[in-house]
Amino acid sequence: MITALAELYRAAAIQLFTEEMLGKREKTITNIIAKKKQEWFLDCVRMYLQKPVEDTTFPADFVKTFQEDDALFESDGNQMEQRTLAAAIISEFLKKKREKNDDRTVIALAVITGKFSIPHSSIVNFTLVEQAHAFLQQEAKNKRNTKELRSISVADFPSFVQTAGDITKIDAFLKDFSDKFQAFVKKIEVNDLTLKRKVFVLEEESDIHWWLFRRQSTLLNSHLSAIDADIAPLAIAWELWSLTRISPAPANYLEFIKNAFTNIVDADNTTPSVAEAINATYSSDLFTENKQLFSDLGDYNNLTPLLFALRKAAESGGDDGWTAAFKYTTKSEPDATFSRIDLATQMYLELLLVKSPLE
Amino acid sequence: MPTCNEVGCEVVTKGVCLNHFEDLKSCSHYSSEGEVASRQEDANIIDDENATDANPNDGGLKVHTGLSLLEEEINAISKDDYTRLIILAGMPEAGKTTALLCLMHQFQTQSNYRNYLFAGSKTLVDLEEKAWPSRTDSKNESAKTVRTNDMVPKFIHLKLAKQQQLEKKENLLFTDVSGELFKTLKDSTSESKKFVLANRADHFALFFDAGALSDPSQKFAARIAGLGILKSLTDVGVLLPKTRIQIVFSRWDLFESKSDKDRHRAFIETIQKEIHDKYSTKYSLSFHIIASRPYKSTLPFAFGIDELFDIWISKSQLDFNRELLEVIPQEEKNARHFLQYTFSK
Repeated sequence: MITALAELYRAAAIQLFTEEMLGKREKTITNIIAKKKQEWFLDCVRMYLQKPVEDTTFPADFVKTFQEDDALFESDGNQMEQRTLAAAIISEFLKKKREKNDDRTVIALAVITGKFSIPHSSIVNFTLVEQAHAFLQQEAKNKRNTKELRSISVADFPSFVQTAGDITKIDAFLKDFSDKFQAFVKKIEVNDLTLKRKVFVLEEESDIHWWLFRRQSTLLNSHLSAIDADIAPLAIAWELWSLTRISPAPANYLEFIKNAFTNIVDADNTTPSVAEAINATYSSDLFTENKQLFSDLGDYNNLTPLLFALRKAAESGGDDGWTAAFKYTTKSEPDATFSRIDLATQMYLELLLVKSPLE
Repeated sequence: MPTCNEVGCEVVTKGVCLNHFEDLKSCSHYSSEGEVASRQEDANIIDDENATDANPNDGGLKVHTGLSLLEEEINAISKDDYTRLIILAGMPEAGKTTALLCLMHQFQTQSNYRNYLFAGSKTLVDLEEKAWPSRTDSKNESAKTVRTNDMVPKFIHLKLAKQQQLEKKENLLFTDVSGELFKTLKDSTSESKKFVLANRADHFALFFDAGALSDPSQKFAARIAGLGILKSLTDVGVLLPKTRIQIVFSRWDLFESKSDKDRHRAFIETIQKEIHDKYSTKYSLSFHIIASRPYKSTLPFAFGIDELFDIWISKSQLDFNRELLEVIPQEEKNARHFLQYTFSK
């Protein structure tokens, strides 16, 4: 970890830190990875992206945690160092082994969705974003790869060679047969789960392919070409999200979105601003009829800027006052413009983050 | 007894000032006998006026000297906000310090320079000391910049605020290093490897003295020296592709004063071409001509400095953060069709 930490620290320390200092940081980071909860890591993501944190005690706790191993760690005037350490924490978190309640996908997705509209040239230690992206790509493949079926063969069972009245041998044979049969049953059960998983993955593929080839929107009960360009980002993102059964998204989700957009008339003609896109979405029937769904979506706030903006637009009753709250909380400009494909991609990922598919 | 506070100066014992001041009173580090006594009296008066029972060693506030920063001091700036590190490299008297002083002068004399306002510096005292010999008050016959003698890298700090976004500050750190150090780096691979500061540099400005390049007795040595510095640092890998390289032909007023300009220009162009051919594929290169303080020339003061400054303030290593590419890697070609499906429009 020390080598990676030294590299990350370049942004914050022109003169390299000593190995002793890096060792202290490493020790703290190792303890953090073992002990802290998901919400703490999400605030780390916010700190890394220079967004306001959710837990107001987080900044003090962050400093205190590092001061436990290094009493000279400053509490003020070292914002860049703290961002660097937040990046290091997330980076190490993504490298850890898979556990039962694996939060790595959530944290990696939060990094990707949280960086929306932040110029890449103002993100320090961009390698973390690349790492999160690579993690999601690999995890998407791992979760969709199914194990090989266990081979089952009659040859696995012992054959009974009849001998005259040898009870010991008969007893041994029965025990051996029983063990082999139990193993056989176990294999069948495992193969059953493997096949079910395989079918589950294939059904996801089949649903998405069918949606694309039919070019039919189930949500709006219309051909994709009938969808207005203004609400296309939400419609397509939402449709693809409802068809996605496994998180993270399939590795080539962007191709699915691009393909869907080939049916939308005038999608490429303009690049709406975030404010225009959100206002158009808010005014649409699609949103109005499903408002409850959006208000029930989890609370990641400034890590899901578009969903946050939609919620604020709804709270303000469509009044443009929501843009001020949006700008303050997400540190994004409501006037920033994006292609509709980019908006749909962002919305899709945010939906995956706040409401992960039940696998 | 006279004293000198400049580290390494032997003016008291040998009578020669380290900063080459002929009139020792011009040197701010030098104190004659009378001055020392006078200061001692003043110190006593101050002590008497502010006399308290407190021990001056308890709870004392350490303030920054305002002199150039050492390596161990610069982290205090970079730890708080992203800081652009600009290495000014080149042989002695190539005009590195003068360019920096000229830039500082622009901020001192204009309300805003290139849409940026001066927002502070931790090394104001050092900048003033360096600028002093070029000021009228120094009573020098012509503007001078004292040669930088420090072989140990030191840094000059500048904090700026964008005119349209005053709350956003930009920190710049310029190296304040003697040309002798770069001479050493040019000649020694092992010394070049130790120059790890370059790993973090956002900009590497290599100065070529245009006056020397247009002097038949110096041109080849100047060319070899400059190219040698660049070659040394790139060969050992301390200069990374994320560092933008500016090739600066400084003291252009001296070039302009030459009679056979076409021949000299052709020579400079061969240097440009050689650098471009060798380094442009790996590094982001730009070429500049400057005349920081033109002498008896039609060129304006700070000629070419604005272009250099625009690059320094707007670009950094962070610009090399690429867009994430959503493509399936080559090795996945044998993966499931679903995973490798790329749709044609």
